[in-house]
Amino acid sequence: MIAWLAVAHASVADGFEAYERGDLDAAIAAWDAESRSGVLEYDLGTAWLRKREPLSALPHLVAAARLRPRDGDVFHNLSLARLALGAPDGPAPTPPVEVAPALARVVTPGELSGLGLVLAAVASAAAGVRERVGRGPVAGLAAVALAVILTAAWTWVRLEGRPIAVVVAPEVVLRDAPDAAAKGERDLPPGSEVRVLKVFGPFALVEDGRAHQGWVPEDALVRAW
Amino acid sequence: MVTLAWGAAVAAAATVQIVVEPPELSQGQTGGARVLVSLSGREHVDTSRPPPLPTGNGLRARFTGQMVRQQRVNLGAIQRVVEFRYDLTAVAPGTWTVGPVELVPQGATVPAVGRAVPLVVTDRPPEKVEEVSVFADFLADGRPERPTVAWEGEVVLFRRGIKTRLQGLRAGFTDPELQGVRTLQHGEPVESQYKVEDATGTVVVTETLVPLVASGGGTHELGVVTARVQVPVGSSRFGFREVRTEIYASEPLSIEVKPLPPPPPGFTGLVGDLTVRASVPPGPIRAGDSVPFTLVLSGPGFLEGAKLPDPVIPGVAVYPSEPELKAVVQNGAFFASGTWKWALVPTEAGELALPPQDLVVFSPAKGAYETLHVELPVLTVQEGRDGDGAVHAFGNAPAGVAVEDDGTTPRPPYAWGVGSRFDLVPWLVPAAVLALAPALGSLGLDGARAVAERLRRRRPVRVDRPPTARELLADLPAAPAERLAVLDHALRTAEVGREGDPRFRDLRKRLGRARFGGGPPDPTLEDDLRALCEIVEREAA
Repeated sequence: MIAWLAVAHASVADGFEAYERGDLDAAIAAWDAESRSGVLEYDLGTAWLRKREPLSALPHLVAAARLRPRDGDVFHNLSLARLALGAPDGPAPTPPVEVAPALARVVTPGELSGLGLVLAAVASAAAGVRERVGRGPVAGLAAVALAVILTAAWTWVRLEGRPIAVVVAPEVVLRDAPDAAAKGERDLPPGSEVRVLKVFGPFALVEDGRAHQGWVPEDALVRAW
Repeated sequence: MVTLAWGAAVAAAATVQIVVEPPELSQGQTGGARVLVSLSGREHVDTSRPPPLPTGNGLRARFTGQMVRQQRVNLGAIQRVVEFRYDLTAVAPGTWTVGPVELVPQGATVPAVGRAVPLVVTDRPPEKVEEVSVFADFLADGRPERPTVAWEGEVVLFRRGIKTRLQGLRAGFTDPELQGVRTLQHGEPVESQYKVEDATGTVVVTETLVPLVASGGGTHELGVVTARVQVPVGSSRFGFREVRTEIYASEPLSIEVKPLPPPPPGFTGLVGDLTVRASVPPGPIRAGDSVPFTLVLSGPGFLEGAKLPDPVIPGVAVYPSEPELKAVVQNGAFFASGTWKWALVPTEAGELALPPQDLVVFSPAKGAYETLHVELPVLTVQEGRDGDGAVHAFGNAPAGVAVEDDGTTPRPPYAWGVGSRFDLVPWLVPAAVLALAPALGSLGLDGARAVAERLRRRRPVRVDRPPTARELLADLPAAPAERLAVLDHALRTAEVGREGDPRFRDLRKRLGRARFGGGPPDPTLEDDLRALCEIVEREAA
């Protein structure tokens, strides 16, 4: 665990050092790990934003907002990226889809899981002295722990089952069928944040911030998670 | 052969038929229409999307449902008929056509066309015309015109409402698709109600004004506004309000949107009859200090999205901020105002002549471009002073935010933190089981114990009864003395209730002799006793 923590901290520190030197490419390379934490997603998004590439920054900052829902810096830079993509000389992206369920905008499923497990451990410890404290409090604590754990699992399933992606291709059309020849319903400008509902072959069924659904090529999207 | 094949192809082609029932309606009445699509072979129609049923302005069609049935045709072939049903509401008198409907079934190569069917709508009875009327029109610059002519980018008011002489009437409106105009971000619709007195009584007028901006060039025939009116007809026996529902329609609505003439240089994109006002605080200022320069445009006009050019003043740094826009519908007219602010920071001392500001806008009332001109004063700029470290900030950023962080600078990245993610959730189930097992296990154990205890307490109490004679005889001890004693016990048990019976008396004498008399052994005593017990049991049964 200590070795893992040391390695994990080292990648953040290395990238930050390169960022401070002004070598943004080196910083991005150092931070571009396989399974990124909220800190790394934020740092990567910030580096891309500094490179004036908001389209590349947006998926990382959306992912960081999911992993660090109470971090003001994350939402500040996320707003800047969205603002930069809404430039007046091009079509404005559609409004971003809301992260659902709403509970995930306050607390992550991992935090809820940790809370539930701590409550469960406390309930188990109290069960050893239940003759003294009474069975009612122990049962109540165990029930609350179970409810928190189930809520965490439900939130996680909802988030993982319907991930958010960012449109990065220049001309993406929302079609009514998973076929390039299908009827185009409306355009999705680059930077539009959509919710991925289903994947069928090379196409993905998405929903934009105005609740319009349609099929787009999956390679036109970059998944935030 | 060729003829036969052609005939088969013709026979297999889909057909569409429109049926309108009844062929004549009175204004406000609702009838029905059916679109019958006959299919054969492998032809299909998309039943998830009913075909649109075109009608004139005097009719309003509403899809109500569909059904599929099969019927046998010539030579035993099966034909499927898909029936789409619509409600037809007569909103304006005249002769109108329902249809045509054109469909291309899946599996067919040629479209099937259902011919249009006429429907006559007669006038509403005169007494009902007097009761209620619906109106809709556009107001440009407060003046109703029909058809309304508007310039592209001009704000018009869409007005619709109802006039009635009836009390307690309720109405719900259905607007046509408003082509050529679009809604505004600022300026809410306003609903008002007033009364008009005339010789025959009071007319109540309820109207709604919706501000819209003309956007699409050309003449747009928009159709009619319909109102579903609930007219009170009294109260039921239980005191509930009873109404009859009528459909009323306005005159057909149209708007002509004219494109703007070629713009002159410096055109800001603003359309409206606007006035301009600018302000700069008087008095001497120091070099390096900021001076707020405010420019206010107001009047009936479209200000959303307008970008005014930043003033160019030699020797002055100019910092813009976001404009504040407001709009309101008041007294039957639209009024908008926009406030643009700049922070001017003179960099040199001396007399600073602010140049006059000219804005080129298009005036719909004049039908031409005009230049709004505003003169600005001369400012006296004194030498700057040593700063005390305080910084004046401009714009919408909240107070207390450092100038370096003006809101548009990305926050810095984190220098440390956990880089790779450890997702706890996939491990949640085993971890939860481990963490909760002691608590749930001990509680479950306690619960099981409690249940077992409760069950034990509920078990019925066993009442010991004396053994019967048969049970005593079935388990005789081997020792002679004990055996005789048990036989005596069995005999007494069997004798209960039969005292005085000579059979028992005889057996008791024989048993007494065997036990206490010391006489010869009685080898048949046991068998006789068993036989008597059986006889007694049978008699008792």
